[in-house]
Amino acid sequence: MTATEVPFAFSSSGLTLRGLLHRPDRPRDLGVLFLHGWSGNRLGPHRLFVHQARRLAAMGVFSLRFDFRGRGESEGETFSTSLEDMVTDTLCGLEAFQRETGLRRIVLVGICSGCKVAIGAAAQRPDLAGLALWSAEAMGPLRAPTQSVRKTLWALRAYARKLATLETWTKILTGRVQTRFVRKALMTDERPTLNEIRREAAWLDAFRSFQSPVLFVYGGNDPDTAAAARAYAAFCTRHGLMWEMHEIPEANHSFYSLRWSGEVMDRTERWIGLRVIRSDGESP
Amino acid sequence: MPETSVVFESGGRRLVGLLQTPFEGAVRERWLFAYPLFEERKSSQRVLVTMGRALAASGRAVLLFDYRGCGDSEGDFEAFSLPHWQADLQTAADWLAARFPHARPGILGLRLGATLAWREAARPEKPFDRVVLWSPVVNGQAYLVAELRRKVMKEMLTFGAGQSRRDDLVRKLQAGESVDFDGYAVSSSLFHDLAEWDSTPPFPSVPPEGAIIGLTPQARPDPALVRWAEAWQQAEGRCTLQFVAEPPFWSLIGLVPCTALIRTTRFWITGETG
Amino acid sequence: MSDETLEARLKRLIVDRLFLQIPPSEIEDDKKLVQDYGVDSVSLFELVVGLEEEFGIRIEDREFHLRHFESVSALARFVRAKLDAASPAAPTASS
Repeated sequence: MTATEVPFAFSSSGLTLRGLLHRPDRPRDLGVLFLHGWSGNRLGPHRLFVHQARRLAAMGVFSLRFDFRGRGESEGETFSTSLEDMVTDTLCGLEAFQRETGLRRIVLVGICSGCKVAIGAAAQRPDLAGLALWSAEAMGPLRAPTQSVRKTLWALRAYARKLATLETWTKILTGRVQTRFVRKALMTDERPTLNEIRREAAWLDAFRSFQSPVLFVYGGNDPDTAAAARAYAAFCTRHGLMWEMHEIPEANHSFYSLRWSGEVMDRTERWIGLRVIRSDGESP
Repeated sequence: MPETSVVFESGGRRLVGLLQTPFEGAVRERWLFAYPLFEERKSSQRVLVTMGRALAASGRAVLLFDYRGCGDSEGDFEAFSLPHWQADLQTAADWLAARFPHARPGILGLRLGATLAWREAARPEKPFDRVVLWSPVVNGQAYLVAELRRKVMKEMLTFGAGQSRRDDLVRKLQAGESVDFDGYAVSSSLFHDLAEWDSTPPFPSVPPEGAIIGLTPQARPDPALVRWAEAWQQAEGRCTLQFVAEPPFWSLIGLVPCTALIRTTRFWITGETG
Repeated sequence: MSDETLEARLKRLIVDRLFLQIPPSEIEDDKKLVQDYGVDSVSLFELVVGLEEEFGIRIEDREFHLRHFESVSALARFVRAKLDAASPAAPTASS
């Protein structure tokens, strides 16, 4: 960390979201906005976002890491945040980031559910300079029919307990709780709601025409995303996206080792250098 | 209520934190929160932020911050160990005291953060009037054994069988090498400091007053925490011991509301219900 | 101890240690703990600690194979083998 890592807050839907802005000493016109996973925070798993942002600063790249609403230090209700909310937060973060720094070009780096958010944001910001998607989960029509949920047990646990309170039932009856959480808690298989599928399908539909580079990084031992990797590969090929995919052998979903996380960062930096910076006419 | 991101220095490094203050009125108490370590910091953050908000709503100021080499703060994890982090707690306490000099000081810690908080609060100067310990780590050796076991279990789920051997990892650490704990480089220094850490009683010095809150299935008493509380009382401290039925949220991947824990803690600190 | 009793004890342990809000009887013997019930390394750790406390056994690192934790049935076989190995041999009758 140098004196140029500073707390940074911005507003989304009237909520204050908190993050950290990394300013490089010799800046390029390029920034990275990090998007954490569903239950994560702006550090990323085992500080992966922190390490990556610091390495990118050494390359002259700005970074903004922030907590989505209801997560980390940000305002907002923890248990009613949706992917759509996270996309809204991302779009607000992008605007704030560019307003603060004057940057023209921003890359989104997402992990896990953050990748769906990145794709959702790209649907509305086709001017993004690229997407780096770490352990991207399948979304919309790309979801495998038998994709079982590792989070169901937790949804059962956490939400079932909430269901026991009168206050929670009141919120459900008055429509102040997203019923998909209730449904998820009561079902043994995760099936997205029709609205969720439609929304994700709309994002994917717009993503078909994304013209900037896309990098997928997956762990070879991640049972959750093997099918997703195949689905995205087919999707990107079919629609002529500028994409590449890298598998880190034996790595798990969140790249829980120094070696694996090092490789994720190496690959991402190489991609940024070759595909993003060079494509803008700069030397990496 | 007003929340501000803050930056201050400790040991020449910049530490990042969050200050939570009441919306209005004088600050009656200032509370320092001591995060746990490793990935427990990430998984526990939202619960601690929510706890801080509950206290701020009751007229308290709360500071949550990252130790050197942890979270958003400056430095690499493997460069630091328990004595550095305890020093960071002292620095943070001084920082908070400078801003709210007339408020009664308290400290709340979780897991290893609770153990650090205990050590800090038990110093002869008694820098804190009250202490709250959420599931404190009693014994560093046992903690290390548990973490190594978790590592082997993660490997089992990734590869079908464990790959690391605890003995091999311990041998490396004893020989002065760092070991990869799921993406955290654990130094030999940290290993030795943890291995020597034993909070089992009797205690040479204790904080004046506090609460131990253990999180267990069915709120069953944890014998080690019962002994801790008894020793605290015997050393003429005032200690409340409670158990709440909450999962070990600090090691979960998902988010847990921990309503019972927050309610219990808030009541102990403020005397307020609802 | 009957087989049924052991399976039932394991299901109670799973519900207890994993903080589930479902009756133990709803956990099926042969469904996959990881794939079907979302058991991860965290809940596995809690389960292992629970097994050791409940049954007085010690699970060594070398015994951490996924096949032992695949289902309640697999877990029951594993625990039964540990208990059998730990119990003293019955005295032989003298003629």
